[in-house]
Amino acid sequence: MVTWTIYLPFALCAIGCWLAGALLALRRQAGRSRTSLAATAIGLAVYASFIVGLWLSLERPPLRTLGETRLWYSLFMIASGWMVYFRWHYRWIPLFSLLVAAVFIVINLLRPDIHDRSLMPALQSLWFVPHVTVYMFSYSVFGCAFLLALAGIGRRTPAYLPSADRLVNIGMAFLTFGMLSGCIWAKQAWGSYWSWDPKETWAAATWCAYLVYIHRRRNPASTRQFTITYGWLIVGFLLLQMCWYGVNFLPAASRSLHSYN
Amino acid sequence: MTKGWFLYLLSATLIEVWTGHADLQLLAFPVGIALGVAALAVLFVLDREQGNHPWLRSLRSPRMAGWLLALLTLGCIIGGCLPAASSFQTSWPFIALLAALFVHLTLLLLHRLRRFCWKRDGTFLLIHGGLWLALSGGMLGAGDTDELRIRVGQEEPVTTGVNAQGRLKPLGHALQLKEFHIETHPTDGFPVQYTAAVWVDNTPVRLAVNSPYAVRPGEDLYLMSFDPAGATGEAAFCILLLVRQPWKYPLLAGILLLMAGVARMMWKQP
Repeated sequence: MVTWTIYLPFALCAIGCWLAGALLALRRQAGRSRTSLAATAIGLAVYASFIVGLWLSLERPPLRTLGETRLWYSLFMIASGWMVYFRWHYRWIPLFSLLVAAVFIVINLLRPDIHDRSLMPALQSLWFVPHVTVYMFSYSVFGCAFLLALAGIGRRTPAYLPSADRLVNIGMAFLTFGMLSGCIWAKQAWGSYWSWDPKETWAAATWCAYLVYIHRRRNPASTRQFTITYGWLIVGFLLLQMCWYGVNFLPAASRSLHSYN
Repeated sequence: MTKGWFLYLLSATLIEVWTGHADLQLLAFPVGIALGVAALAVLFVLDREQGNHPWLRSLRSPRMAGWLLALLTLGCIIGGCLPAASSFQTSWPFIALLAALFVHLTLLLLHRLRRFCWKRDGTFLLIHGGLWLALSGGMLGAGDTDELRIRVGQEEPVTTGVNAQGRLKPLGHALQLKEFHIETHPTDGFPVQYTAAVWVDNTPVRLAVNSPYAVRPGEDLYLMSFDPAGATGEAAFCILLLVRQPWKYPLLAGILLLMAGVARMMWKQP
């Protein structure tokens, strides 16, 4: 019988495999490391086996409490990083996704009280975990693009633009999945795909800002005018912060459908 | 281009000042679909007859896309700062921007479809076609969407609901609450799920949060709220929402196409 009492050995074993995978990926100069992929996959299997075991023990999908959803966050974060590394061989991605996933694992280990804290009914949906996880993954990728933009402006060079392009394309794909899965979920929960709720409005602003960057990069002049091009990455990231938590400080947020207090 | 945009948005702002927000009910069937077909026909003829005219080329250029998206970003930022009651999405300047996006996407797709090659244009078509379908469904179908709030009790069947404008409208169905149940978590006592057993035209239906019931194609019934006095377990009434949205299918198709396009774009990225 799998319960939260045996979470620690599963978590440590998975983190060990993922760390090994991340370090192996970092050591590899070009292409992808098969050993890194295998180590990460073993870690995923170990972690997933805990979730499956918990699912069988509870006799329901583990999606009802804060602790349970954080299990899925960490699993999907590593799975997303594994997929990006498998496809594009960015050697820093496995370590990056491990750091974000580790935050949720540590919260689950240090805060056992959240294991049983109920998730409100509106959040109990199969869409919840993929919606949140892909959004968080895109946030972290856009965070990297933002740092590149700051470095590019600081050093007055367009050299970081090709790397930023790839990051924005990946981030945009995940952001769009997050937004569209949210639309389908919103229809299921509230009856409307899009209702221009404050959170949705800021999400649309963020999406449009990164689309401006993508369309701008189709023009060769965007490399010459690199400060403005980097500027759109900074605008996009600031809007993303606004969408993520800044919107909660606006008076309009009190009547938001996305307010779960 | 700056001057053109200024004049376009200034005109929309003047209409806004003069008439107030747009009344989306004016787009109710058959006006919405007729407008969409007429716009599509005009743009099709324009593209076929004058496809290489500098003005049309400018309308479907990436530069135009950049301008449109930048202005939409600005529009959303302004809308995001305004109170929810301001309904900025039905303001004429914002509708003018969405209409311009519709025209841009239509011209872009019509032109690309003339020399379409799946290998080269597949991702482009999925992304832009999906967005076009979702945008068209959202804009042209806005007048056909109706949301009726219904207070359903156990006493007698209810046959009317209240729409967003506060008007009483017939449901076309008889609804009656059979029982309402609140499931609580055994350890912390917080509500885990709300469930309403409802009669819909003598058919027993179970409604829960995130679990609507399709009354008929394009018409769904949702559980929205319940009698707060019954928070301990049983409630005397519940609030249901009947959503009529015949355009939900093109909207969903647009969303799925966009998802497929983004997946293809990501996978094919060098």
